[in-house]
Amino acid sequence: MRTFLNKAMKFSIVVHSAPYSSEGAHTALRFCRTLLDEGHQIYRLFFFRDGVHNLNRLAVVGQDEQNLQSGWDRLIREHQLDAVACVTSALKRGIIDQQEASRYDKPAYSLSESASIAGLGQLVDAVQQSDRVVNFG
Amino acid sequence: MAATDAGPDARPDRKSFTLISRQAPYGTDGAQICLELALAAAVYEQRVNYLFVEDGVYQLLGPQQPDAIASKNLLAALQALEVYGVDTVYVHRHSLESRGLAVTDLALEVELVDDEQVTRLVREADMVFSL
Repeated sequence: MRTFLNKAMKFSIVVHSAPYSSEGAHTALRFCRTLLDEGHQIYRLFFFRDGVHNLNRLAVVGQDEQNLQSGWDRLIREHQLDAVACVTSALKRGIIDQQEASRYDKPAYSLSESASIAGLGQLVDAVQQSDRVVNFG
Repeated sequence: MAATDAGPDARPDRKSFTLISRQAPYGTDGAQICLELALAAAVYEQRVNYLFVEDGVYQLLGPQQPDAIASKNLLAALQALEVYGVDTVYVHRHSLESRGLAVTDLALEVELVDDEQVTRLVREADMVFSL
């Protein structure tokens, strides 16, 4: 049963903050799970600024701590969500996919395979297509 | 807005964005990111209101010499907002005056707004980004 909003809505989520250094990304992940549990739809997850670190597939996290990167990856895969890392934020932070790694001759790629890299146009589109856009961090 | 535009109803995909820039330039990425969002929204033909509040008003002081810290000149980029179709730049009067500044200190043509108009810019927008 929905505990919040009585009508199903289409949301997009913008994550601005890195995992672990502040609570924003963690809260965003929990908010997304709640939205889906309560029957709402997520149109797009947009990872912006330091938020792109949430999509780093190379992170190693202690067993006594929640692994946020794999938490996002699991959420995206389970619900087949559209997850996008902002290109200008991601590349300069070393969050690159296989294609960018070979284009810039880098020894590895770091972007979760469940996500993709795109421009700010995808955020503008999310605003156009969603009932609500919620920013975290 | 173009003279042929039949109003907002003619373009249901066209949303109004209010961008609130509240941080001084260079110390954090907030000012730069706010500008990038405004330009992206404008390029995709959305309606954009750009509002400076709190320490954000410091972005409008000139001249800026960011070369000294190997940064790009934010003020020069802000001066291009008009080219991208962001016609009106708003500055929160109280933020400006409480920092000992006046509109004559600013390097950009702006419209001063009071609390009530800030409320309106937030309430009437489809989307608000506060950075």
